[in-house]
Amino acid sequence: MGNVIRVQHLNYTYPEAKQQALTDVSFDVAKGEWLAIIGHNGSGKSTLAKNLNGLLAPESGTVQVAGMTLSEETVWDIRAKVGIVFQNPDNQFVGATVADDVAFGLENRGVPRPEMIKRVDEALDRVGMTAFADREPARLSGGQKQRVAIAGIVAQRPEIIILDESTSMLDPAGRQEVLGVIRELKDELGLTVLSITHDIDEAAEAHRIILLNDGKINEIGTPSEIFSHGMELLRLGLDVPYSEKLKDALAQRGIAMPKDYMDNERLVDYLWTLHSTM
Amino acid sequence: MDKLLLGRYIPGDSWVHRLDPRTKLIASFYYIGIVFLANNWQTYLMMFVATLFMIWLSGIKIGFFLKGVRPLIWLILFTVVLQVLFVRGGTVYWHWGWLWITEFGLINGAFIFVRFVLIIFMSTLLTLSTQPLSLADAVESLLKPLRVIRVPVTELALVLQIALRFVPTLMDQTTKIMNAQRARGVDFGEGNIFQQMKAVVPLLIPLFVSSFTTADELATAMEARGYQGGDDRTKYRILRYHRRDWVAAGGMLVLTGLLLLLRA
Amino acid sequence: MSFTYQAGTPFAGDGIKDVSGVIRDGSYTAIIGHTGSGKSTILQHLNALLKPTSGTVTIGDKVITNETNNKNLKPLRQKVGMVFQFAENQLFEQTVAKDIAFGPQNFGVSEKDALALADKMVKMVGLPHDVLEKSPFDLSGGQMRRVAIAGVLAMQPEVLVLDEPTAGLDPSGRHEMMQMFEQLHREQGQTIVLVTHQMDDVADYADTVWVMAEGKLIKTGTPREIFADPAWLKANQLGLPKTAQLAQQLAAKGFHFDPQPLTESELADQLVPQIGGGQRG
Repeated sequence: MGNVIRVQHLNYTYPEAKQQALTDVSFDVAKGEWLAIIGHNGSGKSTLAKNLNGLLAPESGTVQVAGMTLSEETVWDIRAKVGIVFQNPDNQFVGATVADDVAFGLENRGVPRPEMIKRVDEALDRVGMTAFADREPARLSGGQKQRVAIAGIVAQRPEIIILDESTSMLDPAGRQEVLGVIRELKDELGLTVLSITHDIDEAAEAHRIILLNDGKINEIGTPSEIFSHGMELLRLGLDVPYSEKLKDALAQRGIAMPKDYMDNERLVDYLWTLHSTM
Repeated sequence: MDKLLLGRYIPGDSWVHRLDPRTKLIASFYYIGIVFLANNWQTYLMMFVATLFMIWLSGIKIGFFLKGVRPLIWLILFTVVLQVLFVRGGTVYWHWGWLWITEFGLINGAFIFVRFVLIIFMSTLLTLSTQPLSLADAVESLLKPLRVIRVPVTELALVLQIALRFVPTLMDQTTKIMNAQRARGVDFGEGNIFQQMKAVVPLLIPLFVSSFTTADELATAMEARGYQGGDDRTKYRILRYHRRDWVAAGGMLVLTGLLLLLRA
Repeated sequence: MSFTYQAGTPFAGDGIKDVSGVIRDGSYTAIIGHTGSGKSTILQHLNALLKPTSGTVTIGDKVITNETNNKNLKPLRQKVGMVFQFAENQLFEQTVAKDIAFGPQNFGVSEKDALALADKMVKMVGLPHDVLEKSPFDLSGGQMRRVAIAGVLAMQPEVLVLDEPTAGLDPSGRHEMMQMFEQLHREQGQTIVLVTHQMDDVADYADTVWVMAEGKLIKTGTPREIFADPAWLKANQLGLPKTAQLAQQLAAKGFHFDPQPLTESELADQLVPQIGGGQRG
């Protein structure tokens, strides 16, 4: 499996900003991978996402997406390959109805109308919003709006989908809705997923997690490796997995616990072992 | 409530509803134009009957149309009274200084009244039977020839469409901000005119700020989805004329013919 | 001061039907329920932004019915301070100090006193002192939200009503904010009403829980009582706090818990004797 994204020595500073937003960021993303990017607010996560499709122009360094090097010439082609679902469900909904919004990206690329109709229907079906095709956005829930955003991206047949805190403004039901759709689509369409998130459950779905801190990559590792930071994770911008919280509480009461991360099932088994060998 | 306020579109499947919005738009303007051709009771009666026929076709209750007249009733009555008191001709029924009530005055007053009502009924029929978005599409299509003189018609149409899409959202946002400020002790709509104007500040500023944020984020999203403006965008929503549109056009011509025949 | 509530507001959308309840002075009440269950509607009755279609709402010694004149409702807005969801959207003044002082001034506090209150409140919400002279729009989203909350606290309400105050914040932000409310509750006896989807917050902080579904109040009780029946919660589209979830898994294995633990501290306390206390190395 080749690398669908290569970022090398990326630097970015916002105009009129005192601090550099991204410093010497380098990483690769393999095709079909699910990569989570975590960090406290202001660590540069969204900035990184916007550098990947040219919404922000990198100061220095290279960004290669789907075999193309990001430049003024390739930017529109790259945007066809990378779709971003933003945080605010309302502020990315362009169309007057669900179907109109899904068609927006296709209209931009001059896709002929018969082909557009086919792709819009297909995309709505994939995210389970066919029944809502003529609905106005003001009458949709947050989770539904985000699903429409995903449909709009899927209709463009991208290779990569970036979730820029797409679930942070949703209620728990909405979050599950969106993650469920992404999971399915990733499998069905072989997408590569980059998810910028604070949500521990979302991060747990990833193959690898990149930890960003003040614009620099602190660490790259598997969820187990990253979660073993335990209580420190709060400071790093992620929730602490519950199993880690319990481990910490037990440790405070004099029970020594292994440092490695254990998910709930493994923790339950471990504690039972302790009990059985009492 | 919000949906009723904007354009007050009443959903339906009548023949009138299914007409192309361009047809309805042109027909409305045309109709309002030929109303001024009427100048005797035969022509006014004919126009009145024709209008009632169109309303009947649309399946929308007459009550909505009467409600459309109500806000303007004072303006109408004022104009009618002016006609009655200042137009002179025919038998004089009453006279005092500059004020006359004459036969012609009364007749013209009645004619003006009917003319107002017909115009209001027709424009109400347009907005009640056509979705605002369809009207925006119609305007875009009709103004397309202006592209030749570099008028950015497609861009303006997109601006209009996005504005329409955000009206309900903005109204929700307004309600939320008003509630938040009420909870901090603001009284909207109470006190003298200065106090009421002052009260609007904690509503307008947050609305403006959130609208600018929305615009900024929306523009970013549009760019990310490949929007570059220009005329090589294709259209998902298209308008197509059908036979019924030609029938409607024909109807208008027949009406014009009858008017010319029957007018004094 | 307590709140008695008996109301029915059946209007299209997020209506409520036949809700009766009491909010006691000094309590920390959490209102939970799926989206659209009527939680926001109830909140808006608590400070008389909405009047009941039928029934009464008693706030302190004032009784509100459908016929109550709107003119006398203003003092209630000070008595019951409401923090809406995404409260940062209500900021509008040129400086943080002026925005925080806005609320108190609407209730007759002098400008001088209001600005002094602003000074105090900024500290209470954990913001640095120099933020007072900045424009609220120059701050980060999380900071703006704290300014909005300070603006409500500055009115010195008897009851603080919070509609999902942590929505959209990052985990450490959420933690700090809930700790701040807990401090207000513990140290100053502030009565709190919290609408939330975070069951862990309900377990960690609340002493009373109202469960809403389809516009009706279907259960009230302590968190322990409410979270005792996982099947019932699931049927009403409600989650369990993480502690209860793990306790369930542990109980299935063979551990015993009595009473049901609500927080990781309680769970740890009950686990320690069952896994050998401090004897294992």
